[in-house]
Amino acid sequence: MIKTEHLQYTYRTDKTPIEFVLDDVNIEIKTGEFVAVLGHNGCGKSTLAKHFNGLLLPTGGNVYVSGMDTKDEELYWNVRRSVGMVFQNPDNQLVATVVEEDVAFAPENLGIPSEEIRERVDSALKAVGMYEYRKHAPHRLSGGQKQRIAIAGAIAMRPQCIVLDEPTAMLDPQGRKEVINTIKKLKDEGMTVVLITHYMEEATKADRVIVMDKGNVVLDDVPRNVFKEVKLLKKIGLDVPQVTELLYNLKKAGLPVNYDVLTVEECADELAKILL
Amino acid sequence: MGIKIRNLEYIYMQGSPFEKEALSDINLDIADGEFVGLIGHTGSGKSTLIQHLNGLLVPQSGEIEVNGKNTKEKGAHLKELRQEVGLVFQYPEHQIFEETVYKDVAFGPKNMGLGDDEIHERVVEALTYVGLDESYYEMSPFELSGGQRRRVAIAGVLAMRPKTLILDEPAAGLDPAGREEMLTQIRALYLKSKMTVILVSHSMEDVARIASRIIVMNDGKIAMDGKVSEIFSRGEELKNMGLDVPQVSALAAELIKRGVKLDSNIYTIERAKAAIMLLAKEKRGAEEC
Amino acid sequence: MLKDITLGQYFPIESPLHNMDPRTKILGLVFMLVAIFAANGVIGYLTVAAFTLLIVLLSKVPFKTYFKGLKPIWFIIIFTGVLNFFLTPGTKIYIGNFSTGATIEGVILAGKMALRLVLLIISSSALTYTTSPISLTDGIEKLLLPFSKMGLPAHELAMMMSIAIRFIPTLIEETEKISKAQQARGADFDSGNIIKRAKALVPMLVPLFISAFRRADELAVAMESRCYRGGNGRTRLNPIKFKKIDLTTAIIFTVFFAIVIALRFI
Repeated sequence: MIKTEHLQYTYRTDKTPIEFVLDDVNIEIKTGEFVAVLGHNGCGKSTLAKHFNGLLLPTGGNVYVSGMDTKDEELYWNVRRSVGMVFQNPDNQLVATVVEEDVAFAPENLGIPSEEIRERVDSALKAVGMYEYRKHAPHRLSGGQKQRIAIAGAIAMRPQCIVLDEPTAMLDPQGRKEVINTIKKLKDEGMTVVLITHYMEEATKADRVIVMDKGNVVLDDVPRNVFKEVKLLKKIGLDVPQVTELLYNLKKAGLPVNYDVLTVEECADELAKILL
Repeated sequence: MGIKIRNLEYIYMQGSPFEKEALSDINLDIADGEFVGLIGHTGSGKSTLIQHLNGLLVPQSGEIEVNGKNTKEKGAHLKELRQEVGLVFQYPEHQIFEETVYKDVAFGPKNMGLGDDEIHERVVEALTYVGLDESYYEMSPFELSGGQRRRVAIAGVLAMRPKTLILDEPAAGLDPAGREEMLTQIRALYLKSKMTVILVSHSMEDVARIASRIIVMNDGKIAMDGKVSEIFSRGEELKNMGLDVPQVSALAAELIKRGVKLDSNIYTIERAKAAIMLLAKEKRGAEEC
Repeated sequence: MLKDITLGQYFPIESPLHNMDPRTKILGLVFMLVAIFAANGVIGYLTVAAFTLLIVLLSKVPFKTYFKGLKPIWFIIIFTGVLNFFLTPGTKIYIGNFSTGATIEGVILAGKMALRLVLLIISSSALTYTTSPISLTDGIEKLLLPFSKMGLPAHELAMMMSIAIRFIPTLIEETEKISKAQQARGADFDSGNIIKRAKALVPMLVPLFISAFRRADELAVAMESRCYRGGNGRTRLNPIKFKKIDLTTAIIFTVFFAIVIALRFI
């Protein structure tokens, strides 16, 4: 679905030595996959996200979206419509004063006939569970609801993939839950999802986690194997689930436990073995 | 002296179709030098409550006394109140406006009408507290990183030398390392300055680590008020209020359910580790006998 | 509070007026405004007032809302009224033997002005109450389209308007937040002379502008991600259509307008 080959990016080419925000990134995201990109602020993960729909173009290497080179000017809009984007601040990506008008924005830009726009808007709003709010004004909604509208606005383009750039960073726990549940639902319905985040709880829900540091991919594996790397993750300023860290510490202290766990239940199972 | 709240009520947008009861029947005492965590989900009334403490909002009914002064009185009183109770809003970096870090931090003390020497002393003190040295003084705040800008904004409030410092979600939007650094700094500041600190958050995990008393708000009322360990032993109630308990607390509850003899007031990894190590040792001891 | 202003707010209900093509309503309002100022004589005023009442009834928006919308202008009405009372030359009004300084002509003129202002606000409100900002800007865009051949950026103007409307509540909220944050640092917005007050606004306006620029930047990226590339080839979810009701309305408005103008010359 999305593939990067030796992707390099720098914001300024006039400075020497060139500081690469992204340096030789090689990843592939398969159709239907739910991939989380994890990293601290400034590690290059948002820059990477902007390459996925051609908002930024590589200074070196290539990015392919469904086989289309994002550098090809003729395919520009085809790339854009294949990858829906959702950004961090829900207030700064809603354009209209009525929910359904906002969701209609992308299909309108694509020149879709009115009847089909109506159909797309309704199904997108139902997909994120905001259909009853279609006549509301976005500024009266909660942060989580606004972000779900933004997701609906992206999927109304009928993209093959949606990329969410820290969609929960400005939300409260309730809003965060709403957004993550919406993402999981879309994934279950077959959407390819790329979630950029620095919350490890969210990354544990993905099929695969890519950990970035200083413009490089440092880990790329299933969550269970990624979060086992407690020491490495802590070193680059990231968290691991509390239960993983607890078992890791217990193991270090000499208890015979495995620490490749992600959930409370798994951890309880592991501890029950030695405590009961 | 501290803070004393009696029968505080507040109705939001009174008389309009969006009227909503934001606070009802709040009674609260906070003593000097306490470190209080104020927890609640969005709309629970916590933001409305803290704005009452420095007179930004005036009680519609009920009374608030801060250091012996009633917040309903206007004039010179209000100025003093604003100085004594420092309020750091959510995303405080958005309020920065001066061209240098130094000037922005000096804004508060200047408004208090202090002399240049006094202002200088306070600005240096405040910036030292938040870990920004001289090399930053003449920089434009807009060249700094998001985390540094936030520290400049916090210094801007500290420079007023408040007796009570209120921080609304100081770690919001920061990454794990940034959050950790921010919380450690707040804790250090509390220990050094002897201020009363009220930390507003919806993250139980953050608050559990650094506060000594927790107040939980729900639907405009105080739902719980007690020591950290007391609050966390009521995990089920917290969950029903839409609050997240730390994963280790949930783990402790799960293990207890399965018959492991654990204390219910586990809320940090360190505590959990210590308790489990102890249990494991006892068990091994028993098996060897 | 700033949020309490109802003038210019959309009232989301169903009514014949809500159903109309925004172009009809905008042109109707233009006719209405000319009629209000062209009206002459008691019959003329009564006609305009009755017609305004009809519009209000057709909008199905409660009278109360219209009255609330008038709130901000009471002051202007009274102020200009008092000026007219005393400054219009004519027959002085006496109470007993004591001259009040007001003139009969003044009172009549003040009454006329007040009526005009009230009708003006009510009929403009009728447009904004019944037309969502989106269809309003759509209507303006379509009306301006003939001028785009002369280089007038009709689509861009309409887009700018609708984004401005969308961001007004967000920026109001932001203004309140920044104002509170600066007050917490001891800023004083309410005392001192004009210069002092103007200076006190700097800590408010600078952060507000910075934030507005940041928002604009992010919004542009978000719009681009959603394939926005100007007005060409854009379709609409709710395309505006000129329906039978619009034709009827247009005829009624023309007749009404003709009557008012005719009354002026009788």
